[in-house]
Amino acid sequence: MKHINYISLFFVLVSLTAASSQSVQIKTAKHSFPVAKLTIEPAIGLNPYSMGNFLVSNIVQWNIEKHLSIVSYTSYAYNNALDRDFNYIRTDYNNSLTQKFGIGTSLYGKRSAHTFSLMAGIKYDAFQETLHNPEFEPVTASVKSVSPDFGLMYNGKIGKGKCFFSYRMYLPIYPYPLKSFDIWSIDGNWPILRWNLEWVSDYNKIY
Amino acid sequence: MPFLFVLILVSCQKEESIPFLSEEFSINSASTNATYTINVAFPQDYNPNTQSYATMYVLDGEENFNFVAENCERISRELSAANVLVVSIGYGRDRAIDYTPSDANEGGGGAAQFMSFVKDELIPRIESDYAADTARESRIILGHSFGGLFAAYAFTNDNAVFGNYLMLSPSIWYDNEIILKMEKENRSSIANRHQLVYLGLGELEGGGRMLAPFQAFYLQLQSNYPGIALEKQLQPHLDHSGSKNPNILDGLHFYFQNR
Repeated sequence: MKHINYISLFFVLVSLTAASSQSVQIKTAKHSFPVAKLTIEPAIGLNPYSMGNFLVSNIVQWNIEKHLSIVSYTSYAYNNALDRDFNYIRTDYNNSLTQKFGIGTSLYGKRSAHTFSLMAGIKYDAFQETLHNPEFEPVTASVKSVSPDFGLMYNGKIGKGKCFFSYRMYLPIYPYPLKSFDIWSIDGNWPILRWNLEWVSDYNKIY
Repeated sequence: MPFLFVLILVSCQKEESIPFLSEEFSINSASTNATYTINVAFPQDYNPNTQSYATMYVLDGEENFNFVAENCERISRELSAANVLVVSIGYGRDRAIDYTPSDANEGGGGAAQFMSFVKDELIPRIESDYAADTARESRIILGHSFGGLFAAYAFTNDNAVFGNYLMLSPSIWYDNEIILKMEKENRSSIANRHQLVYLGLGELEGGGRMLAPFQAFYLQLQSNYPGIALEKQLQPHLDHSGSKNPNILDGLHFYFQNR
């Protein structure tokens, strides 16, 4: 039951956050990053591994308490944007849609907040390629796939007052995150090795 | 702010492994001027005095040998089929040289020399030193990615050597799909042979190069090879790396059930 380990990680984070919260309050109460009830954080980003997957995403974070929040993550990815005709293989379209919900815990600094969330949802991938090599008859093939999507998300906010800059990283843990640590037989999807890194393009208001 | 140390708990699921006996040796190849480490895994009931065995040649051997050998033993037991000798071919030259059929941006085009090594140096050694069946129908080649490309090259250009091909996420896109041209050129001489071909891909190999050439290769084999036992599989939710081991398992099942 490998997912138990990831859930355990989440609870470790919750525990550590709770344990540290009192001292954080005492030491930084006057200057701590503001805790908003609701934040809406649209962002653009890219996948740093392929450098060709452009993302538009939005996080809605509802802070039930200072250290406990419910998170919604929505993203659209325009994949393979920079390499759409390679060796007579044309990418007709390649898109991904993701909707995830999760529960998170936050740490607060003077000018920053760090939220770790355990996310679950679905991912829809659709792509089509056409081989148009003049030596052969054209061949078109497509995939439409709905996958479960589980992962750990880190969402960092840095700023002052009600305006802040945020960035986020997502570490997928399904499907097949990494089944074994035998380096000679790595078994897992590449996303485990590459994180979706997104930069918010503009300041966000805290609502 | 207090320091916070976060321990990353890692998923590590150890599946029950099946022990197997193996031997290791090296070959200095005259064909490629490189040295290859070869591992041979034996069936648990290996008896050279009474039986000869089919032989599975595994490319990218350092990565795939244990997984293939264990699962050959497990699947052959499940299906009550005779197991095979598993021969792991380690790296000699760069795999982008050995496994690629032509000199292009992504590879050096050393497949012809590597094929000579396999055909003229490795297979004779295996078939003289071990109880290996020498029939073409009893030889299998398994490769992933560039290894799958080399398996496709062996199919199109030296079809008399292997009778069974497990091609996992083969890089058919290589050098403007040169392997499709090779298949077309050699089709008339090989189409009527009996052969078993498993073609596997990950459903999410959406990098703009894998899916359409894979489908084109599949259609060429399906349309033009009356004697072929052909299987195509797209592993759901998995990409190029994640689909490798599931495709090895499905490919082995297909082989043991249809040989």
